[in-house]
Amino acid sequence: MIKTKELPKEVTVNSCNLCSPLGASIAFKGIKNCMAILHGSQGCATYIRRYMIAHFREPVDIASSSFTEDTAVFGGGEKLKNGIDNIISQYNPEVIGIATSCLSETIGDDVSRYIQEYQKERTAMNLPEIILTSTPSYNGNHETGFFKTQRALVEHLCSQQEKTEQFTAFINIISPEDIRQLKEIFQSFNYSYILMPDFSDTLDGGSWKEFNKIPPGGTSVDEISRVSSSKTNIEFSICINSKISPGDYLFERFNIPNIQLPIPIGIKATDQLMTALEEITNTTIPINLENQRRRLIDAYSDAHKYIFGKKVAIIGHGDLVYSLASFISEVGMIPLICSTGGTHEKLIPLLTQIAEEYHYPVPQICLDYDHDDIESELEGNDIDLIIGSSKAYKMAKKLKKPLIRIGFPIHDRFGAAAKLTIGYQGTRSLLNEIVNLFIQIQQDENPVGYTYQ
Amino acid sequence: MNNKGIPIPEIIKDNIMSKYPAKVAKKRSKSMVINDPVASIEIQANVRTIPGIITQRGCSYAGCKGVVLGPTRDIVNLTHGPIGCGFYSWLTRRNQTQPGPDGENYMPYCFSTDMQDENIVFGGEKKLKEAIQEAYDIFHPKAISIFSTCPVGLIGDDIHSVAVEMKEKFGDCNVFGFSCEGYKGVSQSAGHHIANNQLFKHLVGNDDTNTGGKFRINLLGEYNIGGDAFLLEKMFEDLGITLVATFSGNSSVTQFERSHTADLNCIMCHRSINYVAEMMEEKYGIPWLKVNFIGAESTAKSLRKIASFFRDDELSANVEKMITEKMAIVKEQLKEIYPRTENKTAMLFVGGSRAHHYQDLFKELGMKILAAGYEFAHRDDYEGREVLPTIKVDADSRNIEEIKVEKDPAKYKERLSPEEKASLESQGLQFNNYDGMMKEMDPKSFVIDDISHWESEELIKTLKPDIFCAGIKEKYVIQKSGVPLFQMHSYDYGGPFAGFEGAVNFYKEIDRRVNTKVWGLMQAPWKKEASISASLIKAS
Repeated sequence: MIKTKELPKEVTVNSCNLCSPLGASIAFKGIKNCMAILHGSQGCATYIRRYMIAHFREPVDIASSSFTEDTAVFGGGEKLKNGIDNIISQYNPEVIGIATSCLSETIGDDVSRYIQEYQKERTAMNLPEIILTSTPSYNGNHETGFFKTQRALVEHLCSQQEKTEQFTAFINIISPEDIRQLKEIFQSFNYSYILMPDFSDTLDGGSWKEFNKIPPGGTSVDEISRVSSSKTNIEFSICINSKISPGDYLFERFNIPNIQLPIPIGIKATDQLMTALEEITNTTIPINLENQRRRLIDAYSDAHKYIFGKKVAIIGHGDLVYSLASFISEVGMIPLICSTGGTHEKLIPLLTQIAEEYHYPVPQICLDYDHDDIESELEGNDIDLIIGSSKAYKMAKKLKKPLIRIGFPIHDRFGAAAKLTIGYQGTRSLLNEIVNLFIQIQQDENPVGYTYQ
Repeated sequence: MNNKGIPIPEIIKDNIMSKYPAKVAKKRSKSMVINDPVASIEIQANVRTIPGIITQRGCSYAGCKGVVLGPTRDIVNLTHGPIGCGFYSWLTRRNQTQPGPDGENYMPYCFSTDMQDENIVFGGEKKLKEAIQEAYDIFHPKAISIFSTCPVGLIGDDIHSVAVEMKEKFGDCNVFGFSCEGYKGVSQSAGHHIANNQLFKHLVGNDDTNTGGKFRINLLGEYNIGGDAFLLEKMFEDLGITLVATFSGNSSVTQFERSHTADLNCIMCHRSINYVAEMMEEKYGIPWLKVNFIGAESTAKSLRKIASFFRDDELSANVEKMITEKMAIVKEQLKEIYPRTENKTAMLFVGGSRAHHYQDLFKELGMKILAAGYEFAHRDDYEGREVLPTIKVDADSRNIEEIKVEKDPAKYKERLSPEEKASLESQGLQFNNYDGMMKEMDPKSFVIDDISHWESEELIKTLKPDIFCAGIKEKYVIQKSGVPLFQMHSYDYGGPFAGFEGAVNFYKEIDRRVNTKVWGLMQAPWKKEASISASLIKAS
């Protein structure tokens, strides 16, 4: 059963969407020696920092052009230029990422012109690269901002180059631990790659001996400029709109094939990645990864008795929902409700296909839903598990259903940055979490008071 | 360094300023002062943050929706705007509430009109009306309030006339709006003021029901972080004091509507709520006193203030009895902890009152405050209300409405005759007064308004405090440098810290923080060995 909002609802209650500049901020965090500035009221930067810091438990500096009322009337050019000056003097970054806000977009601030003026006015200075991404909150959500920013980076930094034996991977919004896992997989293939945006260190680093104004790590300008020399691109999104896809842009401009893959959660999605990597690198899957796969299959069969037939509600951004539904089906659980705040119609055939393959009824596919809509759907359903962000806690508590937290934000559990869910290894760790949750429930509910296995 | 090996504050300040461009240094220099509690030193506060300088501050919307209105459980707070603002203010502050078994509670909800492109282009009033109607149909709340975000002010949606129209249509639901667009003012402080105005206009005085009680007070500027209000409510109940309304921790619409029936307003957070107190005095004749229930000694002092206001022997006796009993417990607990915290040092950069109030708790622990400052306070919160007439009203303050309030002919009641007031004042009770933070701080300590990242890094490096108190945005950057940071907005998910029991909780919490061994593990043992082996190789 496919559901978009049946009756157009004007009030959004407990949204599933965060705003576009948040996605842009996460993406800019994955660029080496980069400072982001949000062009708008300082509240935008403060709120987004607060949400990211609480999730990653790491410092997140994001500047603001700090609009006041007169700025809103006369435009934010001077404030932006001032802001850039002050960022340069304090941080000396190689890249300044500017994301616009609903305020600057509503007044129609011509930020490209400001940047040109700024660069003209300060020719004597050795200026950092300035990347602009247009992210009004009233258009799309955090996924939009995340991919738009990646696209802005390659649009700005890439030029025609000789192709080399190398591929580029554009990641989705995954955890720093997931990024490390992905890099390990790539390294196992022993082939040159560029991963962007790499926030595995910048948003999950160690303690500092010396104070770092900008945390170490990230994809460098040099790497991004070499993206156009890649033989192939992998883009970890199957829901993405071509207009904001960095891979599609590179295909159109430099004729680099773009392989769009799901976030590799579960055997099939990870197999798709391995197959792609085998083709790109012209090698066979390394033994360590093959062993991981064998161990995962083994775990699937061991886990079966605990979780088979359990009914699951999945809440997340489009790509995450697809990959989780695919994984959930593989292990014999049933995704009863698949819901997202986005409007990805591509999900409908994809999720239908999974259901047909595993012989269960097509799940309720809920697009453009908020948490309140989802809660109403769940009320009439016999669900065993909810998978979603911390924002699904209210419904989980009310409906007395267990919640596994994946996605953004995870504020009420420890270790969001270390959450591993991708690749064979990550899938196994996610499987363990789910199985243990059901064993725990079984133990808690056992009338005898004690069960061991 | 002076001869005791303590860095000289003037030199630290010069070093910090030297890294700023001249224009920025000139401006920031006025917001960073070296304290002299006796001489009245002026500090620059409530001025615009410089673009590109990483600030702790939020926006007007955050102050209005998040801080003042957020803790009230039975108002449907509808954010009119694109989704971000509503999402980020959803369960973000750690206000707690106790709705009772069947009570209305909308705090776990985030209502938004989630404006899209077409609403920005063609206007969002229609969407807003429909959203209000839907919220009403689903929940039938007592009140619905509308909060404007940045684009709303620019496209010209008139939220106030929508509110009037819907209120009339419903008949049994109060609907009102807040023009708290994020670009108004210089910080969340503008939002507090806007919230105060509208609460006063639309709720205070709506219901004359007097629920009885001899000693009727309101508690203003208490937001029930970590359950503080629950402890205070219990304390007042034990003393026979009737708490009519709290603005706004653990509060309800009805409380606000009846708040004008109280006889005394007690202000905790002066910055965020003094406007309501001023207006209530003007219109209803309720005097106000500044209190502080953070710190055992301060709690005792504040209770005595309230008791002396009511001039009742039984109440005074009860207060003294409670202080004696509770202080004995507090001191017993403190005795064990004190040797481990004595002479340790702290810095506090938070809010508009906490940076001041929490100094009392640290002092009880024998700790020294090296530096303190607010995020969004005004000069009066630093220097005392006596500087109010000298504060220049700039463009950023001028655009926030000042409500003209007059005596309510029917509801105004003189709580104290001029003679009674004079008599209380002669006994030391100060009405309508707040001395600010600086007078109570040590000479030569730093007072810094709207501290920037760079300034806090330098202070940490040079003064090496044992604990730094700020918010989550500062937490991890400070802890990377090996200094524990205690979150004062959320109490780091601990608390409550108000009143006598709260003080003991705080002592234990700070003891754990400043005496943790975790920082000692930062240096890996082989780092040392590596340098030894390296030197051995070199020697051979």
